[in-house]
Amino acid sequence: MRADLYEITSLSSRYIFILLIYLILYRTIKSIRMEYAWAEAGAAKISVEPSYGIISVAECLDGVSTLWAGMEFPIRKWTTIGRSSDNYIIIDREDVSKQHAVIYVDETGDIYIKDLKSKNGTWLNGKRIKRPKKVRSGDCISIGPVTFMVKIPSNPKIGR
Amino acid sequence: MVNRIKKSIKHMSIVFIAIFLILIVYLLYVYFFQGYRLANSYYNSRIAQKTQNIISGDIKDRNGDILATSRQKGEQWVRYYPHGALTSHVVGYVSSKLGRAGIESSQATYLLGLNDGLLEQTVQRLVFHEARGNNVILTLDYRLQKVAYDAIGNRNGAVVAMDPRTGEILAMVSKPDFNPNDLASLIDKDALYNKVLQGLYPPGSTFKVVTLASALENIPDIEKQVFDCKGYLNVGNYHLSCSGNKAHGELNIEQALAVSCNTTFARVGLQLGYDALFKTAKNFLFNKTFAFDDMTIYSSNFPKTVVTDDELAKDSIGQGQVTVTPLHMAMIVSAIANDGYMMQPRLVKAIENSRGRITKEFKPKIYAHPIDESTANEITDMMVNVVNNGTGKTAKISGVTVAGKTGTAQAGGNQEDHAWFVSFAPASDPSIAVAVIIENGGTGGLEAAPVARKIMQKALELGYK
Amino acid sequence: MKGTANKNSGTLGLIVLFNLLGFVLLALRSLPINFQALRLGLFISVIYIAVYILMKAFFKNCNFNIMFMIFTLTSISFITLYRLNADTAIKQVQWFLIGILVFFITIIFIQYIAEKLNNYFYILAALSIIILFSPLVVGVTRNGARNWIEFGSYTFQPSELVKILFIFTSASLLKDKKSIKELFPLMAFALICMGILMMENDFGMMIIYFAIFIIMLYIGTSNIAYILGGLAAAASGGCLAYLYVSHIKVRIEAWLNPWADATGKGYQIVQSLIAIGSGGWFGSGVGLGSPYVIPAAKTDFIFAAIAEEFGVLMALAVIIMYLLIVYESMKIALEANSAFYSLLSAGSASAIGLQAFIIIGGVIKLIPLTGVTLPFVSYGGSSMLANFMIVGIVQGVASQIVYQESVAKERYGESY
Repeated sequence: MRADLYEITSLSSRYIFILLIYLILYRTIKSIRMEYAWAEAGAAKISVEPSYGIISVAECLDGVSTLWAGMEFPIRKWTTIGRSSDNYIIIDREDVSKQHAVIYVDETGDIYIKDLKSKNGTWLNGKRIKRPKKVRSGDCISIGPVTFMVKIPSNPKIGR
Repeated sequence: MVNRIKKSIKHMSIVFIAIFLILIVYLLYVYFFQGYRLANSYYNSRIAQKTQNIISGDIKDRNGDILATSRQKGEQWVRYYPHGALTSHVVGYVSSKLGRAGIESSQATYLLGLNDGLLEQTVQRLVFHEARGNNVILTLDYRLQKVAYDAIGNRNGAVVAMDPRTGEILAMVSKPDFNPNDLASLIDKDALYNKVLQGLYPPGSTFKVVTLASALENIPDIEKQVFDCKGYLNVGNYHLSCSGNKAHGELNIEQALAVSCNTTFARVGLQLGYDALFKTAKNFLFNKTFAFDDMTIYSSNFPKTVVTDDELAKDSIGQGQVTVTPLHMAMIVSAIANDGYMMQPRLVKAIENSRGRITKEFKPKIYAHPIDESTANEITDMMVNVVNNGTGKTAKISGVTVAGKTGTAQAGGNQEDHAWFVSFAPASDPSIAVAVIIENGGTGGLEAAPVARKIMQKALELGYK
Repeated sequence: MKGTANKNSGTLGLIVLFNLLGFVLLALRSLPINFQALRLGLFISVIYIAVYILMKAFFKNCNFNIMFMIFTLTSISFITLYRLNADTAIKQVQWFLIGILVFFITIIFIQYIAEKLNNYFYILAALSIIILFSPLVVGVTRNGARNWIEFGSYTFQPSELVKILFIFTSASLLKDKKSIKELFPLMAFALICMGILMMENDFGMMIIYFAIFIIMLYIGTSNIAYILGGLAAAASGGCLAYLYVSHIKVRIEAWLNPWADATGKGYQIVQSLIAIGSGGWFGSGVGLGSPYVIPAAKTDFIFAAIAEEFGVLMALAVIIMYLLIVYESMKIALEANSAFYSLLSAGSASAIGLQAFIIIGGVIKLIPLTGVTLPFVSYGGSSMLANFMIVGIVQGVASQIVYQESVAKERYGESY
């Protein structure tokens, strides 16, 4: 290309370079902020399904990366708890079994906790359970290092 | 995972964000405040390169008189200076061996059109098939410059004239000088040095205006105080004497300024004390590094730490460790002339593109406010007295009130004294301020004042009011 | 999430566009058109797309923002290097390819092997020390520092690579909370490494190792005393160095007032600042400036060359890019599954962040100049490989983060 034509081309391109770069930065920062928003929301309150109550983390010892005290989960028809990542509530500690327990709701709307033959057991209000037990508002469930508290509102929404 | 690790990581993230922000801020600072000077730096080889391909714009005085232009010599374009040595220091030069200097250097970016907009560059290259820089219009008035140049004649020294209301420099001469059209036959490299901006001299008695200002601000009723001059004063081990050992007898400070009585001003300096005098000198911008886009001025000096009495006495009369550049002296009297407001000195008035349209104008800016209006007026009155009744009689202009101060500064060793004169006119509404120094010239009143007079007279003739 | 995928491909598109624009310009610069430049630009763009596709297919849990920043930085680097010297750029692209390979290997290593090796502190420490020491035995001296090893026609810097071993080793000790007494072996290890670097005259690296050490120490113990102690040690070390090591004194004086000796000791910094000042906000234009005048324009001072032709706005963008890389890496450290991974990621983030800060700071005269490379941008094989390994570690940690199912479903869609 002729020298003076190249000069003009290069001079004009300057602005395009800056524009592109800042667009790239803008999109990247936006992407970061969106992820940040999700991380903050965490699994705190997600009510996409009808919920029968709330199970919250009352106490959580060191060594668990996936839960922390104060987190709340909606109790669904079938809420699995365990170490493996396909559980609804994941506790990544060696002393928690891969499929440890499940909280489920039966046809009458009652909420039960069932131990899935776990190694170290599931504890309800301090007592180890052997068969499915009904849970009431205020009950404490302990699995491994985590203690959950159950809250059932007086008028639970029962959807279809 | 442990919460404390999480917290520590968050802390470290904040530290990293902070240090990167510092990086960003500092980069912006460097570019914003120093970028122009860096681009025009003597050490920037890009300027010399661009000179090959771009026709440099003209440098003109405020009335359009061409001071520097580009001419074709065969295949090449070379710089030609119509007025040669008369404008040599202000305009500067372009040389492959010596580099660039003066306005040719400090305004290289404009002269070569380096920061012209895209549209301008496109039009030039594609429509006019050439690359031409901008013209730089100076504040200089060649008519005044010629008068100043002729007035100083063959003597070495510096002359600078400026408009105290705007800070515009109307004339700037430094001798010895050189012929910018023929740098090859230059013998004395010292001639390249612009003494107006870079010559540091003891101000001698011209400094008494600063001591006076300090006294008026810090010593109540100093005007009424009576001093007794016996022709000499012993301060510690130092024997200070008035010019010719003359005993001035009883006099007040106004009279002392008129006759330039050393003993009185030494006493005033001692009465003020180091702190007060230093503060006034600081207000007048001593010890300050001036960094302007159109000129580099060396910093004037006033001792930065407390000195002994004998040194203080010397400083009060402008000797000792005090040194000053001629331009700074002009700025000081300009402040006195301009109700205490020191305007930023300017050499560049406007930028004009290659087709004659003004693209940038530089407006006058207040640079400092060393003294208040009443002090300035008092000093002005006393400086008028210097010219009417004192050592500055040779600067009188009929029909005009001139304010001035002479200076005869000891140059050290066996050299003759430097002759100084600083002045402005007309005293009631000053439109021209001048500082003259004749190196080893003798007495200020005899040698320097007439030079200043000629310049002021011409300025008023030309219509600077 | 469908939304993120679109966002990502859009950003990738912009990066490819940027890269092509740069190389098209470089191609047009000569008469007739320089087809090599076009081919190179196309090739690089294809690599970016290929890496993106590979990662989406096999490593989709990795952090794409970091990848985009790296693509952009390398693109700016390739364009600038090609403008300075075509062969240098081609060599750099070759190193880039090897770097990508090393990058993927590192991710796999972290995913499958890393945890198994993290209890062998002493062996790792010994290995680090031996490799770091090697230049003193079989190495060559370059630029006054004896920290290079020659292999045929290639030279490489062990200290760049041992940086990674250093982070790994430190993380393996710090992962279990330790009292001060138990940390002595780590301090000894750090001191030995720094000592070796000092003997090799590589003070820039020494500072980086030291800073990484202090940062990891703080993260591992949450004890601010280590930072304060570290700062004190650095300050006293700095003073001693200034007084007793002559060429450090020279560096500091050149930093304080380079103009005093603008053609001698201050030459590099003066030319660097002038280049930055000459560029303007938008730069002088690719091929229209004089970046070749800048000393070490392809290595230490490449930031100044970028500022000259691409502009100060671009230089600012580069700084922001490193900030984003560090930010994302720290975020990954926050979400990591275990203390070990967290330390690895944080240490890696510090390594890149510190190095970028130190060299950019030196080039703009914020701090004295130290001879370290600008990650992904400076010309250099060892630097490219080492930095890809570091980023590989971060991505490896990222790929294993376990999310709550609900969050994971929102983020990655039902396919999670």
